[in-house]
Amino acid sequence: MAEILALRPRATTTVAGAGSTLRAILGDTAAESAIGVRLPLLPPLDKLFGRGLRRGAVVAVDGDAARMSLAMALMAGVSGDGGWCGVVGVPSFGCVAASELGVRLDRLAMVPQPGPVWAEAMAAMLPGMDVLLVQPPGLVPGRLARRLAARARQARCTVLTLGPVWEGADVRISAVHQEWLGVGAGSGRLRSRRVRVAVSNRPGSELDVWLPAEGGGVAEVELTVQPPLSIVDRRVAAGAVDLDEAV
Amino acid sequence: MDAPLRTLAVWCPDWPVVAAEIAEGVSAHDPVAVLAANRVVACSEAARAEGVRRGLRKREAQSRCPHLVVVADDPVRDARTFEPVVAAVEELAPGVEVVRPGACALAARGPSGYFGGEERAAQRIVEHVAQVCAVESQVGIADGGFAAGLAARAGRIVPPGGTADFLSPVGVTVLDRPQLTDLLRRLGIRTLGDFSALPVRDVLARFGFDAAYAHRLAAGRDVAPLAVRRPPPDLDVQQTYDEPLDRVDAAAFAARGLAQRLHERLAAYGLACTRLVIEAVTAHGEELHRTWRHEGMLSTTGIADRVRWQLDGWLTRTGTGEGRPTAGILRLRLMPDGVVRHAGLQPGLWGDAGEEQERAHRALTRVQGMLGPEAVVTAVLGGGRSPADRVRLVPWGDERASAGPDATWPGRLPSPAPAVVPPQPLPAVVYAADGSPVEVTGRLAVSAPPARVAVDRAGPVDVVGWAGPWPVDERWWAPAEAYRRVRFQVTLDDGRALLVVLSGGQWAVEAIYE
Repeated sequence: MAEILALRPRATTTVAGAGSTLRAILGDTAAESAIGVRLPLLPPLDKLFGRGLRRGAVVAVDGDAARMSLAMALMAGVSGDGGWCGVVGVPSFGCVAASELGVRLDRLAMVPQPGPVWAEAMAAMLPGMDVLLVQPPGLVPGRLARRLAARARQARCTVLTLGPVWEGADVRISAVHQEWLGVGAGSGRLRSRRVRVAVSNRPGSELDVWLPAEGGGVAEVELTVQPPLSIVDRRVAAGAVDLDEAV
Repeated sequence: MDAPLRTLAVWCPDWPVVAAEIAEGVSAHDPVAVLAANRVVACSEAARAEGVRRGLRKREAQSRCPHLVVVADDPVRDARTFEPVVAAVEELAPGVEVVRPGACALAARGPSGYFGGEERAAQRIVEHVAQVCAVESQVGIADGGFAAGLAARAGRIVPPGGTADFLSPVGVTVLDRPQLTDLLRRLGIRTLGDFSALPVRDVLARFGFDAAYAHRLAAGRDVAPLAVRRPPPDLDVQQTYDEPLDRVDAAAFAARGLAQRLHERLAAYGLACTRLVIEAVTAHGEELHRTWRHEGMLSTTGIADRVRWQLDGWLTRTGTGEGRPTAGILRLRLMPDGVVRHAGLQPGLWGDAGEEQERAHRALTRVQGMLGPEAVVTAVLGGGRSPADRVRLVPWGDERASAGPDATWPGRLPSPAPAVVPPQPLPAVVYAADGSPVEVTGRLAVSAPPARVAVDRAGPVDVVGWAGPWPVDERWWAPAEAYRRVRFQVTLDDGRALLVVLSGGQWAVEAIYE
């Protein structure tokens, strides 16, 4: 009996120890710091998702403006981190633009014309990719969408869908407004674009970004500072100088 | 001192020309010349009749024979096409040395003893090569490989001991040492007989070791042993099934066994396979054939997976039904095409060839099995003026060779690049403020500022800003490929920005800055 009594406190400490370890693990997965659970994002875009974006989530990229660039910017974060990106069913994917935004082309695989078996192709690609950009040919029925989403979650591959065709996406990210700068009346050239991005799961949180920023990449718009137009640009915009660099 | 080995040499005349006929379908009966560095290295009989000779410049050869067909020299092609000839000779007698593509040598003792005499052996080899490979050849027998080679050119069998006499009247140029023969000729030594009459010691002292060796060749004392090649191992594995395989699980089971056998066979030779050819024959006699590439080493599971995906793709091919076999698979064959000596696979230290790459590779190969190898592509950036030209799509698994250095391209669109590049430009119309389409003259004068743009049957949208015209005139020197156009960047009222082009009076949207 004495032995049993002596054993009891030891047993409880072990359980308590395991509990705290478990709590530490759980707490870690919930925090943004947990590498491998959250998707790496380019600096200004991570502000949109307060606690990061879960790997294996389905993100609908829609809205009329800047859809493709937004999807590329989301891919660029993963690609820059060494991840693999896939593109299914987007024959018009601009690879030069993607590379300018930071997507590594040697880790980008594309299936431009999957035809009627796009869902099978997508399901086969999910286990090998970190991000998969999909443009389904039509509205995706809820059942198929759920099945593919489950596969994606299991494979921990984030799915970006283009357009409002995916039922039941986890997050919806859209650009609500865009404005290109640099082109005047018969002069200048496109230089940068100001985009206002909104995310569905955090209503009211909108972010103004340069996508692309002057000189490439993504940057947050500093609200206190004037848009970074150089003197030459202003004169170009006013039509004073014919800066025809492209010819 | 060892006596020179009695050697039998097989020589195929004008081999580079014959190789070009076999590999590229050039008729060797027409005047054909094979050129390397603008000089003729070989020509066909018909070309020789017209006065084409080795060493002529291309222009000179063409002036002698205006309808000359010119083929670029390719030693790899020569070697590859010569392989069946060597194999045919090996069927009759083992221990063949490939002297160069077009010529091989072997010890004469074996075949002459077996076929009953040197002449009969020679006849037999010529006949066999002609039957198996449809290639003309000549055989010569002499003491030593060097003399045998010359005997083959003459189609002679030099009796034992008669080699020195056979060589004596031959010119010194056959030694294939231009510096030495040039010097010898200026010294008045024109034939091998003259050369071999010189004292050995003096030749060595005056001309060096290589000349001393040539001196021995000239005297018919070529004692160098034949560098006999080892026939390549037969690595193919195949299996015939009594019950045709028409279900994926049965095929997968079959694939596993075959893969195991192939892997064991490769491992026994210490080889690794970089390209795998899967061949299947169905019960109705249809042949299905596909090559898989892999940059690392294919393990048993790797081979089995590829075979399974391939069979899966063949047996459950969806879509139009085109290419789908009409019966189950009766015979399977795995051929390693492209083997390398396996020295252990060194995985990359950080990422590049690690587990993730393998994972991605597996997934993509799977999709390739489903849709065909060209369906999965990866992009390589190269030079070009338009966003579509700058991207070259290569099938997954092929080499991502860069399309030349990324040189300056005058007239290239400045960055940022458009994010949406439709495979085909979208038809569009650009209107001026008065409703008429905007025109651009040959001197790049714009008829009126663009005011509205209508894309692909959608309603016109007001233009906010525009830039251009930027002219592009490509390949004007080739009328069939010439493409002349002017480009504009326009920003529209709804926030969109487009790259519109005007070519031949037609407006189109080449790219969208989405």
